[in-house]
Amino acid sequence: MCAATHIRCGARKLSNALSNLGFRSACSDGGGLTLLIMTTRIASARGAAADAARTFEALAQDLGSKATLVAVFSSTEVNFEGLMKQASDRFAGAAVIGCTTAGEFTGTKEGKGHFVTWALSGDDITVSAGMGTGLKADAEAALTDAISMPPHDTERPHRTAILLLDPLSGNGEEASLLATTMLGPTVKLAGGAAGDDLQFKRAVVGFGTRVAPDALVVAVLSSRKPLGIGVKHGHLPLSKKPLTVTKASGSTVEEIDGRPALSVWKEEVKDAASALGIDVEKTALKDLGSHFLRFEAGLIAGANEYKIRAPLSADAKGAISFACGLPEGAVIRITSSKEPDQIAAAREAAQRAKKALGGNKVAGALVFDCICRNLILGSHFESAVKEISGALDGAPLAGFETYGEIAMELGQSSGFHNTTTVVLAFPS
Amino acid sequence: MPSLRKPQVLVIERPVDVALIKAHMAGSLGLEKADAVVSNTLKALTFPLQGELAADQAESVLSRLALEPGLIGLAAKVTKQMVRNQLAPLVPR
Repeated sequence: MCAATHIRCGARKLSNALSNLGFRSACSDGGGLTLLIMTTRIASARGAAADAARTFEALAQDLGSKATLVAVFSSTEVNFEGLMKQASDRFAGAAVIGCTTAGEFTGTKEGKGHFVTWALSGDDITVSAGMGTGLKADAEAALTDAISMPPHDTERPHRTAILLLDPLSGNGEEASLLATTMLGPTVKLAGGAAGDDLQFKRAVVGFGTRVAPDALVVAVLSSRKPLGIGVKHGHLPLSKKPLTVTKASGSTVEEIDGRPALSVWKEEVKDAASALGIDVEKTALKDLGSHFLRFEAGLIAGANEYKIRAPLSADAKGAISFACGLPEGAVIRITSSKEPDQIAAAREAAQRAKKALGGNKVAGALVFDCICRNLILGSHFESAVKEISGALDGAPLAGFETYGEIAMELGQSSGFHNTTTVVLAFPS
Repeated sequence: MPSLRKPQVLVIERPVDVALIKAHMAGSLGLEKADAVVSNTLKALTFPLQGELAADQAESVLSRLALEPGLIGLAAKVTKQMVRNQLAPLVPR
């Protein structure tokens, strides 16, 4: 039994009122009441720079009880540092985490130039968070500063970490893998790489009133019930044969099968692109970016399983730069993506997260969804968000469009994804 | 707080199938690359290329791979942790 709150009172009316405030169903005790614990409550809101204070106030009112964790995801058009300060002031005592984005959404509305905020209350989940800087120079040191591992809690044995990082530091995948080794194999990991509205100049993360680029934030959640993580992308293999990366340096692939990478990519996608009215041979180098997103690389990671690696640009020598590293010897297939598959993938990620709650109702969710999916789906991206919301029974959610998605379930050895939806669901 | 840079020292305590090591490594490297780097290390250490490795052999293979720079080394560190704790590899999604 919970050792925390143990209040006795004598009125059933009070029981109902307290239930509305988020207290777990009370035990009837001869007309009296034994109140045990506060259940998890989640609220989310979306606002503009001008009405930030009102948005946070509305969030607090909707939450109805003291927040333990608050997330703020903001466009670069909004003063993120100011938002973090306002949130820290309004939700004093809560762990406030956040980052800049390439788009932000709640379950009902997606858009640019705004911010979304999300809050969790109740005593089912405790939070221990921190921030580390100097990610590019030393990811391990940054993680050491950021990880504040709480002592073992027998009442809250399940551990999940939320990781937000600056991808422009260039080592998102390395940081995700390091985080896994440092947190230990029994801690699930979910999160996302910050964005900067596709400027690729400055993406920042924040913890409390601290805001910085080249940094990461880790929030370790200890919970009574397991949280649910769902991951899914909507790409299918297009190339008929596997292709081997034969020359690469970091995230730049110079040659595939001994030939310039761009030549191979054009050859593989030519017919599929033509069916979409795109002539890849005649497309200028600088305009190839959006076509790359339709035809990404799939790293063969299991039987009929692919990890997506997003190509971002190509140079005049035919080398292709990816969002994260592809080592020489890696075998890939070019994949293709259709809008219905992208929308279905978002829904399935949410369904998987809900299923992982083991029958518990969904109190709410955080969603980390790749900006590439937004570029593929265009105006239909909001439909994908609504599919996620629907699959989570309309529970409050907030999320942002990332430059990389992070998900590591127990036993999983792969953590950094591209063009993928990651849903972190919280049980009620 | 205990130092996170010096995690508790653990060792692999049971025999480990080579396929399990490759499956874990494939999560980050892909199947073929994982197969190549693990097989090369097994050859270098003159260990069997398939089937079960003794616990100390598995520890040696993963410790050697963990010294590799970049993704290979990191993937090996994660794999070692998973194997030590006897967690089955999940299929990347």
